[in-house]
Amino acid sequence: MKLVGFLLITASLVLGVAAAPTAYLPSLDLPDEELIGLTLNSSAGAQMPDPPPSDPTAAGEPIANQDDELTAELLATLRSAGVERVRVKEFSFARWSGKWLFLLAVAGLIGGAALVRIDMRKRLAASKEAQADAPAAESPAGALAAITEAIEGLRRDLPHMTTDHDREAAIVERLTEAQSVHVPAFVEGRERIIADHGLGGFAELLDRFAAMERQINRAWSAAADGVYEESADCLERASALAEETAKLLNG
Amino acid sequence: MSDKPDPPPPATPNPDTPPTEAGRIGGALPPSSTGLFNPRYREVTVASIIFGLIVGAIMNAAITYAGLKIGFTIVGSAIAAVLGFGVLRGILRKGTILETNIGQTIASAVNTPNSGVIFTVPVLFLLGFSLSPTGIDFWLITLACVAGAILGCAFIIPLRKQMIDIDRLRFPSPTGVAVILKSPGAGAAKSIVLVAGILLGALIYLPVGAPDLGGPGYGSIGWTMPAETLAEAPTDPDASNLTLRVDRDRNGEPDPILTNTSFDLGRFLGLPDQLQLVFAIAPFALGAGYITGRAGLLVLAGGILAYFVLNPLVYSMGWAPETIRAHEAPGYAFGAFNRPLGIGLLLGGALMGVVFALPAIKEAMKSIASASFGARKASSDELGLKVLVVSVLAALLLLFLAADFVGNNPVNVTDPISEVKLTGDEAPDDQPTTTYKSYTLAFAGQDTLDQWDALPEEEREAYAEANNLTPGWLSWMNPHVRALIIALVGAAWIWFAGIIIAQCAGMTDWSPISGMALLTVVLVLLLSGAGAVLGAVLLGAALCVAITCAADMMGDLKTGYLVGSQPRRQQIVELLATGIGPIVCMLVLATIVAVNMKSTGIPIGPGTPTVAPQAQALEAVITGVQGGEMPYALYGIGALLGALLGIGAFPGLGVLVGLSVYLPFLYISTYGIGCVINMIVVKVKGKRWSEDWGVPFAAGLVVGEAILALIINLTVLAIG
Repeated sequence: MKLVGFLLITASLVLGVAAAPTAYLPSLDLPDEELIGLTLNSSAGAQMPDPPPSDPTAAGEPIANQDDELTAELLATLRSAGVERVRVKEFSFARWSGKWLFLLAVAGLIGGAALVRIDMRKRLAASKEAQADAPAAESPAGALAAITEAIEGLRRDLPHMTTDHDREAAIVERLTEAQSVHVPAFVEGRERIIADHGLGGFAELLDRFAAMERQINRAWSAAADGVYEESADCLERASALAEETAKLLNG
Repeated sequence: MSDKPDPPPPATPNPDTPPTEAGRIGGALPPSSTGLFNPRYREVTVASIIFGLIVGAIMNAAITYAGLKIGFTIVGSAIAAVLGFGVLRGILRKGTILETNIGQTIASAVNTPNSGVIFTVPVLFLLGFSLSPTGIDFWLITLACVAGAILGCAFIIPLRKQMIDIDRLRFPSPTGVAVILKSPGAGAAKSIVLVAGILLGALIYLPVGAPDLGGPGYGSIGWTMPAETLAEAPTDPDASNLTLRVDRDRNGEPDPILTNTSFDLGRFLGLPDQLQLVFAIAPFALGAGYITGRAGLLVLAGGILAYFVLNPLVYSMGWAPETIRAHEAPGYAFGAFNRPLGIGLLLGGALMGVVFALPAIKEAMKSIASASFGARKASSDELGLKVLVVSVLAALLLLFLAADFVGNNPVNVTDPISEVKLTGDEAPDDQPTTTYKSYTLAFAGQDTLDQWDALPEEEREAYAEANNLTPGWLSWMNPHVRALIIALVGAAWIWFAGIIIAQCAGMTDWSPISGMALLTVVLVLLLSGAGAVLGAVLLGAALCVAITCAADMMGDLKTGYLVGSQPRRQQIVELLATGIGPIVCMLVLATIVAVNMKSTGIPIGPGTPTVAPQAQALEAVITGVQGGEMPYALYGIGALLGALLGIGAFPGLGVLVGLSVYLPFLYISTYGIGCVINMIVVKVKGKRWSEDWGVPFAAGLVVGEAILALIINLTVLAIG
């Protein structure tokens, strides 16, 4: 269903974009009274000058120029030269030959969007059911638990290390793992979180999660810069924020 | 100043640092330091501020010159980040990751406003206005741009949580900058990869930039179309004897397939002329595409829709004038259809994005309000609402004053009767004014004003028509009320356009600044009247500066997020520094104009070394509005498509497609290669490997080009 939805959206977009230019390109098949008085926004028609140019690849001279007003005589000249459409400055829904194609494209986009949304809901429901069976690390809760464990592990182990250098190295090493593996894993579970908590709840949860992640990032930077005290304080704050995030996730 | 007296010169965890008491772990939760200066960990320091201001001003000057010459600007943050390492960590031996980040934040805040200025202000010179630092109009425009810069930064701050914390937009270049900043702590191997990327980026770009210094470029290789002569020789001895397929410019030489800046694969493969498969030689686009990854393929898809479906259709259906030849069709279709449709798609997509993001925006605002007034006030990491409100009100007041002043300024530069010039050194001192069709007209003296009053109405009408003095939507209002409404609408537009630009930059790294600049000036012209060009450009410049600053602020905050910088500190330094940018840029512009006048007699544009391509595009739009040529319906059609695209897959889809329809294909194609390479690397080596090793290398490509381009521009600027 999702594939059909996306194909419908793509086809409708192509159709809509293709139909759009004709909004300003009235057909010269229209009666004169609908065209007379319109102003050209591009030149129209082509004729070879007399004498013809020496370069056989020359494109010729336009029959009418931009800003020329369409008159009965000019229309007749353009039609006799085989010109089918001209680009004008004025828009009229009635003159727009591609309007039905465009409306079809609009319907297609709405239909495609509906199919994608229905499929998305079904998949979310299915993923919710499967969540219990999924390995813990793959779920947002599992990823958060892993991040929390990285922070708590550091809080446990750091006091037992002998030098700040060892502590800083441990912080950089373990937080790198959390930053590059567990944080992205948590974020990839956004659809599950939205399904469980709604958009508002998701936003509130991510607000806390992001605050925690920033403290982790700061702890990493401070450790890399050799400012251990700052790094340790950031870990403390990250720990409290991880707890808040977990409460929101489980609440 | 509360810097730590003797901080260590760290690059990796320092083995010499003395141990602290049990690692300070456990006990009560320490409050976050919210002052501007952090006594323990170097972040905002005097060194970082001075560094940022100097580097920002230098970049601003060089990039202003480059922008006026080639039409687009280059990434400043990445350059500042690399220079920050050299200066703060290398020379001063005490910079930290966060201090370098603050340095690059200030530098880009000073540099960025130039995009908004150079896309708009030069159009005044093209339209015959004169500006110089000795005149009030110059400083009025500068003041409006300063107001715009502050307004843009202040407006985007409340959206930080929504875009960065909640929507987690990728922001490829700011992500690359974060990689650069973190490289010392990430280990030597990653630093080597980063440096390798920088060197390769510079090496690839060298033949692109070298011709500006008189050196050889890629075009010197001489890879051209195979000669193919006409069956019949032209009778004109000056005409080319080659077919149009191989010699489009009719200069008698086969066209190059490889130029100094691009590779035309379409011509190499023999594709029909209306299909232009061209790749820009642009390492930054390649790197940005890699960092964006699979999501960037949507940009490529949009480009294919525009340039391989719509444009060939326009040609094959006879929708282009008959005098347009196949190879000219893409250029014609771009101006006539792609641009309005693309900007419309962007607008609709962004509007839908805002609608879908409302819960996140509401939550972000709630969080900021709570941090400003509520329980989390004491430990707030975010600039409070009070400061933001004051900044917005102050900037609004400046915008109103500028709009009010310019709205009541005469719109004519010559006397309507005697045609005596009313500006410049020889302008008469006393210039009486009158109001006609809500426009203020100035006269060289009372006698010509009396003659004007005595003219028959038809003649005054004819003058008004010849000078495009058509009334705007708000012309019927009291001028002060009109100025107030224009300021308010302008502020709302800044907010919306800032979101569009930040979303585009966040998702793809591309910012449609010039497109937004065009729309901004159109909006002001519609409100105030097509004849009020000076006012429209003044407000347009302010709004464009605001939009660019909003996008830059968001990018810097993303970098700050990734390195753990406190948003509040970044926001404060950015708000304080950004107003300097327009002043530097306007003074550089005035210098360039003075030099051009001396050497060519032309202030700017064709006939000078600074052709100001974007200002020429804006000039075409202004004359288009005055001549009724704007295809408003196409903007609307595009907006509807963009909005509907957003209700399907994800809200930003319309923005991505719109951006790609609007951008030149040669950059999209190179960007697309970067996206595809990322997907292949992820498939072969895994996502972690791609992030750990591929992203630093890609960031290096972005920076390598930017640094070399800056060096070349500075050299050209210095030696003229």
